[in-house]
Amino acid sequence: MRELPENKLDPRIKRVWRLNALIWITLIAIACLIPWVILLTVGTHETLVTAYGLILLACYVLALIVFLGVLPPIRYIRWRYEMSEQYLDIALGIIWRKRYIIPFIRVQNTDTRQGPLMRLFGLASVTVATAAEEHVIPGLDMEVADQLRDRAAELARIAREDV
Amino acid sequence: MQGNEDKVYYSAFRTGELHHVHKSYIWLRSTVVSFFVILIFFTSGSSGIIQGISALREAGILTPVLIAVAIVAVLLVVFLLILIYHMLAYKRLYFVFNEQELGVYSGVITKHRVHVPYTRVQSVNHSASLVQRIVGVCTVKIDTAGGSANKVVQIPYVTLAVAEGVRTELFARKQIALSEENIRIEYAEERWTANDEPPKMPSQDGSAEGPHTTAQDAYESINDSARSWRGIAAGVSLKQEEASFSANLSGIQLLLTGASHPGAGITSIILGIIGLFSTFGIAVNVSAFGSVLIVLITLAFFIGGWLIGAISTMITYAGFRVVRRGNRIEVEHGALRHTFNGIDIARVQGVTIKQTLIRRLLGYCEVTLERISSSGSSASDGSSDSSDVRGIVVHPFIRVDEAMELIDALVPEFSQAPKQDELEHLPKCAFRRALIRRCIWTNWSLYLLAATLIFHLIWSTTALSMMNGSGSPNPLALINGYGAVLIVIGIIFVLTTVLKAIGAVLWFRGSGFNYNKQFVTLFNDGLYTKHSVVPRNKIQAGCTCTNPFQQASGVSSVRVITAAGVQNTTFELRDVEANRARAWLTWVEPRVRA
Repeated sequence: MRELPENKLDPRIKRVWRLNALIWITLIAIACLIPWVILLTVGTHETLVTAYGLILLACYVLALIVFLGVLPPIRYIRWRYEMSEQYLDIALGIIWRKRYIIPFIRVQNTDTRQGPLMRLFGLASVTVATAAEEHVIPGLDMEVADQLRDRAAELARIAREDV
Repeated sequence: MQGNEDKVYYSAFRTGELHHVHKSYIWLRSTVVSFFVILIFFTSGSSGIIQGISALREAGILTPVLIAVAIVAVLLVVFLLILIYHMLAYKRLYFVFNEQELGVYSGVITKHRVHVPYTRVQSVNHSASLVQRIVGVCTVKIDTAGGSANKVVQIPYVTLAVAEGVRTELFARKQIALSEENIRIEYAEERWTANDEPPKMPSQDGSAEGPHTTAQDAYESINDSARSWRGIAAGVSLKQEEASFSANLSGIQLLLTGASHPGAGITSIILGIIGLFSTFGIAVNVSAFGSVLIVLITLAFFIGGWLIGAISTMITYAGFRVVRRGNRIEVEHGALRHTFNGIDIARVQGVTIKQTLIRRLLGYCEVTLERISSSGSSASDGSSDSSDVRGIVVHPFIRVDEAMELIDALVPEFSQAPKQDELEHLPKCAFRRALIRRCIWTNWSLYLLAATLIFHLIWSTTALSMMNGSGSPNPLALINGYGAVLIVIGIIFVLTTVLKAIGAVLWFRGSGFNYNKQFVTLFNDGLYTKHSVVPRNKIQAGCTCTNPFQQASGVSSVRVITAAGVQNTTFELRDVEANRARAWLTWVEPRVRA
């Protein structure tokens, strides 16, 4: 049996996810509000207006509950990583559970990235790029991210082709 | 004697000297470009032009003679402008063999300079369109070690001799740059045959400098002249290695390749459907004769589409030849557009064997070497090889057992991979899952049927209510029309679902994967089969993916992520037993000597 990798992300990433979701859901709700306002000013189709308004409100509340309340903790629990001498082990995903093994000999670059939201909370993400695609570890404390990136770069440098 | 003097390599190109491309760049490319410009100009503006001309004619200003003269004048002006542009561009277009890299300089308005360090050169390929072949020139495409990050470096309109010379020179200088020894490079005039002409060869019309009649003859003659460049005393022999293996397509194989190519099937199906719907307008009020007519017309479209696909495939693969030369595998093919592709064995990301339905029934398959492709078609002669984008086809039509022999001979490094009979197959629940997935969730005909039924219901209820109101016969006819559509879609649904079910059975029975010390093999059986072999040192990452249903059944999907293709390619096998998937993931972890 393969146990889950041991390291978790920084708990503050949940706040980043929540804030991000709040911003996006509110923006989308406002965009969907525009036709409602138009219908309202036109003045006809009273039932349609109230129905649309109620449905929009219900969807908004539901989306907020799901993306702010339900998903971040689950996603946080699922997101695990572990760096061994020879490879990086990542486990993520709520519905589609994925498990990646990335040998360090294949790693080309390692970066740290920080968007404005992450910077607000003092977090950064570490990106490990192979010739095929990039793998991201989001939401680590800035110092931890720097250390991780340095260690990954070092391991990638000294990695040797295996037997 | 050996250690005292510097070794010398006699090069066909002086270091630092500017080499322009062939003069045909000016007149030939101008002609081709003008042709297309005029075509676009006239097809898009034709209605406006015709209206303008007829208006002027009615006003009495223009006579037919004047119109003809005006048109010819416009054509000439366009051609002249393009010609002048190309004359300028020709002066600015040249390549130079510098100390450490090849420089390609181009550009009229903005100057482009591309530098390719010799050590980064991976493949030097060339391709020639039909007009280029007649003249005897081609476009050289240089792949660098950057892979998808770098664009392909192109040198257009060089003669075949120069192309071959550039290839030899690049690989020679690469070898020199990589070697520890101190090798001097000196220019030797004798490396060239006279005057940069394409190599003289016997051609059908008897002229000495004729066009290349078949790719094979040209190849042999280039090979011969390349070999005849050796023999200068005390020079390092960086000779082209002997071919250790070669194969080609016989005429019948070429015919069958075209006949069974998947493109042919798809084109014909699309055209068949178009034909069906285009005649459907006639169909609604129709008699028996009309329906026969529909069937015939649809059949005609179907066959026409198949023929077009087949012929274009045959043209693409005419003159096919694959060669193993030292560490490189070289493939060339094409009757109209002739291409030459080479790849170093170390750059091969995997080997894929594919079978379409027809080829599976015949017992034949197509063998491809996966490689990292560059995004390269935006340079001057941007005609990319769609047939060779992701991988090099090393044989488009070969018997399945012979395919294994081909792999053993062409890429013996891959012969240690687990074979098809060594695969471990899938657990029983995979069959149930495949059936449900293919026949229900991903069954487009089911959704189409459902949508049609819903639409039909809505339409018939509204039509009935309309009938109760006005009593006009039109809605009823429409209902009958939709009834016919419903029957057709129903038939499509049944056929598709049956095919998908058969595919599911075949997939379950044949699919599997296995891995040994050096390789992982994935096999996806079905109506179309795909057999992928990836060496362990080309696996960029290993992944297992499990959705909740898979978790409940105790299976996982296995994904092998490679760098092949333009971005990346993932080879996947669904519904492998969960423990095996985990064990495979452990295998992906590198083992190190203690």
